[in-house]
Amino acid sequence: MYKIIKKSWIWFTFSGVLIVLSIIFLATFGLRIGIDFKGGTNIEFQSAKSDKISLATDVLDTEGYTGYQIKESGTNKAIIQIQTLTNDEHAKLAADLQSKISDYDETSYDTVGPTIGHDLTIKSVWAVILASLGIIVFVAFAFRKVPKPLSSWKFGVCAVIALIHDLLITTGFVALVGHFFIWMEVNALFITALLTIMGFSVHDTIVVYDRLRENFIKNPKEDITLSAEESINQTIVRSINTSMTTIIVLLALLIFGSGSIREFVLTLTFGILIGTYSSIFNATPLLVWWHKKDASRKLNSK
Amino acid sequence: MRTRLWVLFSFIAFLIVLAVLIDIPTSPSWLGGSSTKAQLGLDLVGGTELVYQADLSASTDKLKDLSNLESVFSQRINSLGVSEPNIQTSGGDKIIIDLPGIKDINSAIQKIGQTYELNFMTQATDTTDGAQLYDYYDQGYLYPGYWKKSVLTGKNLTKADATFQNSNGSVTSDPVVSIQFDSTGTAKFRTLTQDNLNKQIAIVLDNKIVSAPNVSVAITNGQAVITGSKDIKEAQDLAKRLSEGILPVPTKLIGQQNIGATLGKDSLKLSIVAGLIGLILVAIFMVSFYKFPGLIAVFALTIYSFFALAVYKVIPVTLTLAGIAGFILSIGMAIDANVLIFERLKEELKAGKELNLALHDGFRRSWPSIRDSNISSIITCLILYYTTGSGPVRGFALTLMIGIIISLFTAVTLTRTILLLIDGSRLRRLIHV
Repeated sequence: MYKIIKKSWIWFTFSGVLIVLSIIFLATFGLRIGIDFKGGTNIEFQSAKSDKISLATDVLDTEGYTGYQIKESGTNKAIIQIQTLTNDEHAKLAADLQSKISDYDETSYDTVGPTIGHDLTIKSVWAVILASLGIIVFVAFAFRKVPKPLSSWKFGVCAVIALIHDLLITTGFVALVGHFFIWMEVNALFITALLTIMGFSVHDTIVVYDRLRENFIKNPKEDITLSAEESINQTIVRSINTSMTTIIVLLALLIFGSGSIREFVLTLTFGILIGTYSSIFNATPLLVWWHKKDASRKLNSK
Repeated sequence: MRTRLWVLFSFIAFLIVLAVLIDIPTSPSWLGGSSTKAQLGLDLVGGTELVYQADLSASTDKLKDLSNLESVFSQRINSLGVSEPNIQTSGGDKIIIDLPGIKDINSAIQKIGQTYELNFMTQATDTTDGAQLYDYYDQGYLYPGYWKKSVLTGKNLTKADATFQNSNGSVTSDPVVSIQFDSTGTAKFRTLTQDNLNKQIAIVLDNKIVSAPNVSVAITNGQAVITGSKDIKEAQDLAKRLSEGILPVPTKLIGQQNIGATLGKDSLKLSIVAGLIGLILVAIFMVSFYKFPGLIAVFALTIYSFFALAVYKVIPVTLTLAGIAGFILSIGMAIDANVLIFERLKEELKAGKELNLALHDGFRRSWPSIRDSNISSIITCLILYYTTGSGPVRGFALTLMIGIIISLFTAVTLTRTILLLIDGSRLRRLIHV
């Protein structure tokens, strides 16, 4: 049997370090906010020329654009991130790029006005808030019959703490990768990835909690540490196997799939790994720690 | 008991056949024939997406105005000859137009967003206050006189229809276009006709004179007819141009996206390859870890893919890259249910239970956690679907949700039926986990 609860402090320290690192990345690098949120234009083009970046930079500078970014984004590909363009500006820019870079081929063009971006920000915040509330309420409801002295709302709160842990570390990871790669931007799909990670993380946590509930009903007299230790050990193979299968598919998508949504697939892969880790090593140890703390306080006050 | 299992099995087999028939490119005619086609999003076929925002601040019936705008847009798009365009309203004031295969954004925007400029002009004395204009029908003919713009324009037009009218005592009917102004337009038209009694008012479309009738009486009901059409066809064309030129509310193009056809095709190909590789790896993993039951799970997974694709086609769900990711991710969820069941089965067998009992208990005991964990994922999907109006996110939420629901059926019901049937047969010694 793996002694996971007994070594709680290792996992808590590890998670603490990851959280601190994430906050540092977020504070120093910041997130690469995509045009979905702030408005603007993304132009992706293809050209086999090795000096395409400097050629394109020349064109952008002569046309008087400032505050743009241009970077390689794959074999023979580059992305220009620039302010929202009008149709005429776009047509002129494309023609000029074409004349400077002979094999210029615009593979995708995406422009978003500031209003859409504003809408999406509000919607996304709502989505995350609603999803978290939905999950707390659902977990509290699903575990309403949990026997004393456990309490069902502690299950819900611990599940959500594990979830915030996952989202925070994933966002920190996105900030780190976004610092080095232009394609790792925070867009509508990023919010989708976060919510999916939430779903998966809770999914995993519920499986462990479900086992804890069952063991507790079976042996109400047993020490909670022991019950929890058993529950984790009974479900750990399942947790790892499930994540393995999901990660296998995601890795296949990441390696062999289209580069167009790699930011999404990478965020998901990382988030699901972290989610699996936290549901085994954080969610249940946290519940046990909280429960024991309350129990000892009750004992002392008697 | 076994009869019930066989009935269930036959029912599942029937569903599988149905799903496969829907999945194949040319379905039998009673299933809609080849019209049940998988719909692919722009990021997979290439094309242009335009997002228009309507200014509904002055609108009294916002829903109606938006749906009018949508139908004007669809008329124009149909005249572009795009195959399978997709027009949808979003967020109460936006219209999202998908034009697969369109690479030239600017000409599409011009055709969709254009408003024909309709003006009502009055007579001017010479070039100092007016201009000479050509005839609308005979474009080489310079219309006599000078013309200047009035306050009345096509913006105040609400309707334009081709019809027939008997002109003064004549027995023949002439094709005309009857137009109707809104309330502001009616007032403006009344003033205009009052001020120009016994003078000409020119009806000018895109700076060309369609007709310039003499005003004999002030018109107060906001209706007018445009004469001068040679035949009904010409009148219909004019009416169509006029009514297409009317956008019910002011609109603004606030977003556009263009994806090259090659990029789209590559993305589709790569996604399919990646999905297949993923599936094969998962299959290898499951069989090597869970042996024969693992094989059953892989079989259930294959059936699951058939079902999911059939449902996507029937609804229909427009598949985008994010949507395919949702589908592939739901494979992970589908497998999860099987992993839970098999792990439980293992425990029950270890506890010394007889196979049949272990199977029943394994399925029964793993059900609460399968149910609860999937419900939490469905909650997330529903929230994603309803809070975000944007395309890729919705597509992802929809495919993932459909996937989860179907996987509950295939991973639980299908796997259980097959395992229980095998348990009662000579093959039962194959089941060991």
